[in-house]
Amino acid sequence: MRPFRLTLTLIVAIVCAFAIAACGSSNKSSSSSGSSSSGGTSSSGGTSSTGSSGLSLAGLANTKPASNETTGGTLHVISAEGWEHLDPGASYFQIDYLVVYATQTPLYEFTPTSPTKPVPLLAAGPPTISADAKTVTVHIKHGFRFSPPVNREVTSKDVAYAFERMFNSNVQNGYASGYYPIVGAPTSATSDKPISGITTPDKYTVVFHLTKPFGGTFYQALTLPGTAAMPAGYADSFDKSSPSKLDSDPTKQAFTGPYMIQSYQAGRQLVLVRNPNWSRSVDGVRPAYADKIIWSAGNDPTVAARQTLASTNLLMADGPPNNVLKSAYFHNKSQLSIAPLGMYYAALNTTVPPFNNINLRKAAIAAQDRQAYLLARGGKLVGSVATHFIYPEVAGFQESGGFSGFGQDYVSNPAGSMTVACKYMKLAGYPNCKYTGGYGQYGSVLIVGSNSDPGPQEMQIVQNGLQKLGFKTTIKAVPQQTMYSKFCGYVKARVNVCPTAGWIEDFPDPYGALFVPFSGEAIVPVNNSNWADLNDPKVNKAIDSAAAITNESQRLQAFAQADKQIVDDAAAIPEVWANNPLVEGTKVKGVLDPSNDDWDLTFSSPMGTS
Amino acid sequence: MTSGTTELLAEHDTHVDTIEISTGGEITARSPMQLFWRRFRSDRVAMVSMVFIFLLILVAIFAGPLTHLLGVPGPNDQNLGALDAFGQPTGPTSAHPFGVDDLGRDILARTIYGSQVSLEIAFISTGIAVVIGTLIGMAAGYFRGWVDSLLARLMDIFLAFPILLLAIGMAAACSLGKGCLGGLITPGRVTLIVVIALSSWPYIGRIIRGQTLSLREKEFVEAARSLGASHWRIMLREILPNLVAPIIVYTSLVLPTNVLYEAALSFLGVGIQPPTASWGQMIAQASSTFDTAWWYMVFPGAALVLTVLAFNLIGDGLQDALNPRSGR
Repeated sequence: MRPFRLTLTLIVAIVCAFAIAACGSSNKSSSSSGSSSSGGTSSSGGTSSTGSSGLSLAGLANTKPASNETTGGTLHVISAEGWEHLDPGASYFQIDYLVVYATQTPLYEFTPTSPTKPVPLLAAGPPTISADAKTVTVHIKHGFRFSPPVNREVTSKDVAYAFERMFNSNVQNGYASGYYPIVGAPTSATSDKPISGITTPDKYTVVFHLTKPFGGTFYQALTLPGTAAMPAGYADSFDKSSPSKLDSDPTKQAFTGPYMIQSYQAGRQLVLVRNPNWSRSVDGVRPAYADKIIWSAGNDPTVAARQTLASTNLLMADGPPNNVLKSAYFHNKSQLSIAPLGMYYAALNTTVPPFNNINLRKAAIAAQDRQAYLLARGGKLVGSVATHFIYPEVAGFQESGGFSGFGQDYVSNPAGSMTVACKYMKLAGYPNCKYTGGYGQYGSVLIVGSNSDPGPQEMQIVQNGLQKLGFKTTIKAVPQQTMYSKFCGYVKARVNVCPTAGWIEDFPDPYGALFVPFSGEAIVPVNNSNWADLNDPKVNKAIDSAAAITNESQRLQAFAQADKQIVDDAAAIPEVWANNPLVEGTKVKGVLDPSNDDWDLTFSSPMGTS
Repeated sequence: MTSGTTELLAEHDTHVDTIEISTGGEITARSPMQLFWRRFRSDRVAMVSMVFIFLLILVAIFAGPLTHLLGVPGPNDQNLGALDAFGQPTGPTSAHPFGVDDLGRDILARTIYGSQVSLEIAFISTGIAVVIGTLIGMAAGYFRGWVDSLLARLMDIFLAFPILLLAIGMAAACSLGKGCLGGLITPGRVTLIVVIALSSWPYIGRIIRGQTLSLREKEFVEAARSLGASHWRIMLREILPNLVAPIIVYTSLVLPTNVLYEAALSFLGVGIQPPTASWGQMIAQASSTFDTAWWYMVFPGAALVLTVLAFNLIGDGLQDALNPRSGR
């Protein structure tokens, strides 16, 4: 009996170990792919970083629009991430843009068929920019109508109101003050007040008077979703609340896009149905194949990715986890696509100890093995190790030194260098190369990142590098949205390191890649994207001066100098110039939005091609 | 007057092995410890479990030299070379017998170091729970009346408290800055120990209270009282020694529960903080890649299961040895 009991015990133990392990594989509750990032638009440049991976890209899904896509059916979308802001005035997040570009109509848009040149959407044609680049005139199309309950034609006053509300602090816009230097625009306002620099001479014309010669960049910024018209007489009552009720209950919006939000459960589910007042002929750009779009969010990324690969009509809005990516590459390659994304970096808060000391920041960068970040993101298929902040798909990359960058010693070795780190520790006053100084309010270096993969790995990578230099560290893993809204994007939180933050350029121009994340002029109290709190007058001036240059070559050179200054400031650890791997079902025709580096719901067809 | 374990064992143990007839014809009584040990060692499952736990303790104490001896890297050493082109962990090799995790860290080293965390937290939190539970249970059972009512309700309140919620709340509240209560509760081990001890002591307190209620009516307690012994002396010298057997048995049952608590809280991300190795945290990190990296979950999972099982089997053995009438 006894020997039997012992044997049985061991068998039960082993079986239980496997059972526990097996159960754990399918029920992780709160994670996501982590491939999403803040920011707006981007170019659809080449997949340069995948060229050196040694992994063939042949046989990947064709994600270009096709002329024989079928209309009708329900498009199902699945994601691990939830939405942050679906109000076009507040929206500034990759996942949100998928919805906002399907439900609203900005003045211009980069489309799958025109990835580098803005296409007039609500606008009737390209804007007229004055010779001094300080006045921009936009004519809007006739016949665009708001969805119920507004049910009327969009006019220039609605466009003016869209701009006014972006400056209303209740709307919490993250980029208006940087991209729209309009005469009379408030620096902060608690209500939407008329802006003297916006005039509407007739029902279909809007004129913007700018404070500086900024017309060219302003034109590109008109592709952002905040430019979507909002009916003043209807929306202003919602905008009196903080935050605006158009964000907390987006079903209340007046829609101008092909779809309207029928139901919304924050972080869980979203249902889009056709907007009865939208006309394909008036729009002229978006085909809007699907009759209905049902989006399920908050899913386990592994389960969602596997479900997508096994499905016929499912699109996964965020990237698959690395293990599924590997599996999809070898077994479901025709359902996998690689879109150029932006970049990931670890922002070092430049305003609080210890990283208000530039030499400590340089030491921290030098101590990092940045190849580890690339592997945590999925390896060479999904990017390359970054050395500066203008990334491969953005104009100005070559002027910034291409892949090798500017040659600063603390970023030139992707594997890191403790010798270089030690040099900067000594310059900072720590001759033993170990930090013994004080910390800010948190008593250690606070590292806040996403709790979804690869956030935990990235936090431990940065922690590993900092601990080598003697820094005490505390890791706080939170949901991605919380990381942006309560910590890294909330200035007063003064988080020391945000290692899982990412940026997609707002439009395919170095200004869109550098201004919001690194200019002191773009710092806002909440929804802030300058996570390093960098407010270096040299950087601010360099970006502003570059934006004012009209000669393309000189302009790119000037932006490269701004990029160099940011690397000289060591405001962040450059991690990865990233690609966005996406998976889709077997039958659905997924089309990539080059501006958002994700699916374009209005160009994708659940029924595939005929 | 007999007291303590001696009396309990002598009373219960009336069968023939309580005496031994020597070759010279002398009759020698066995000590209670001898009786206990004789019974315990006859339970081979419990003995194997005890050897396992003993070895585990040695592994935990000598984790550093052991990993050095085994030729594996430290538990927090990240080795990118051990990841594949997709950044995925690779399986067991001669360099990494248990494979590596998604940061290229050696699973064998992390499993070994994980035992330190599990045992340290389980032993300390159980010790605290036993001390609190015994003191409060004895006071409630001995004094009865309003003291009993008050302390019994206190135990009910603690028993009703959802431990996971408490842990998550404390972890959130104490995770930044200098922690809570002026730095007394800081994130990580201390939070875990406090939470687990707070949730465990009422179970022991209830048992001790019941036993004390019974013991306080025994003749030897009345005799001590009639001789003028103080409450403090009666509790410490007469009642406490008689509680040793249940304390040992219930401690052995609470210990594995606390090992699991630690793993569960670390699994949920409110326990041991990275990069410190903890079995629960390793299992949590491995859960998303189990189908492609089984070794990442199986080895810490097996270590956890075997440890809990061994503690439970020892508990069974102790129960049998200390209370042979109870049977199974």
